[in-house]
Amino acid sequence: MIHGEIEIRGVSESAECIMASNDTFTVLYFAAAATYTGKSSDAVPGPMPVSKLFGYLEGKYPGFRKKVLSSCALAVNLAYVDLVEDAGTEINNGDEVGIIPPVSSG
Amino acid sequence: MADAADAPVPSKPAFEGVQAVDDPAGKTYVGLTYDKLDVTAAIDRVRSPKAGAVVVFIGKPITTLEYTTYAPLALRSLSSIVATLKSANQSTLHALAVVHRLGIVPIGEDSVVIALSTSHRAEAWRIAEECLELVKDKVEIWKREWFVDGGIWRANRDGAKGEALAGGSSEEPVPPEVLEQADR
Repeated sequence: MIHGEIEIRGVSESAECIMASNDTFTVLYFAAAATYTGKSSDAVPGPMPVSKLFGYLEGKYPGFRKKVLSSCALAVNLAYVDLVEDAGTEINNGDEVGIIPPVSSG
Repeated sequence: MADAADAPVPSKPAFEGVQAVDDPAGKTYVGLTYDKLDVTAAIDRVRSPKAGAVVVFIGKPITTLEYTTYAPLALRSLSSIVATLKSANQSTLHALAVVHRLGIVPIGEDSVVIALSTSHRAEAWRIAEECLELVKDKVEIWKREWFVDGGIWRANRDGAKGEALAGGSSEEPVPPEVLEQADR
């Protein structure tokens, strides 16, 4: 039955992905954010103002805010949003939100 | 955890070949690839009978590094950088190409190539340096340095986006406690 449980979890996760565009928006994690969460994305129930997102993610991954998010920027549908000026901007279901840690190309 | 972290495990390439934004009219080209960089192809892209100088910068990691990216945003940022340089140097810059490698880049291989052609060499050196600085500062690519006991994500500078980290030196590593769990 343990094996069965693992399978059910797999099913519910993929079901969550399929529903992403209807009831949720997608949050993408990169670099230290992906390492901290252990995954590359989450489907988050929306809509949600920009100001609420980091708090929501902190609830999901304790310590995430202080250790990673505090140095990250946010891109909604490939456009950066200002965490202060755009705090009230609504993230809509189906949107793609990138958590952007400090970059290090080269 | 120790055995798993012994060697870098390449994350699966998100795409094959080169993802690029090619602007033949503006004579600019930017690309991302998991394959070995083709430096000759980058040079050939910027050759021009009107250009008196071609300068090429090749970035080469001195430790094994792994690069990840947010490809659509990185391509957008790269395009914006080359467009800005092109319009700021209209009279002298003929063509400009930037290609960045992704995934594991072993020592001895190339991580980034910047090739450009100008009317005179002094501008070529200056624009190549400016381009590299902008790429390192802006483009959504992240490097992870691998050690025997795991990996550390690097930052080219603190507070490049969002709030500043504590500290302030360049190449500041993300605190190790952030990384312990996932490098396995």
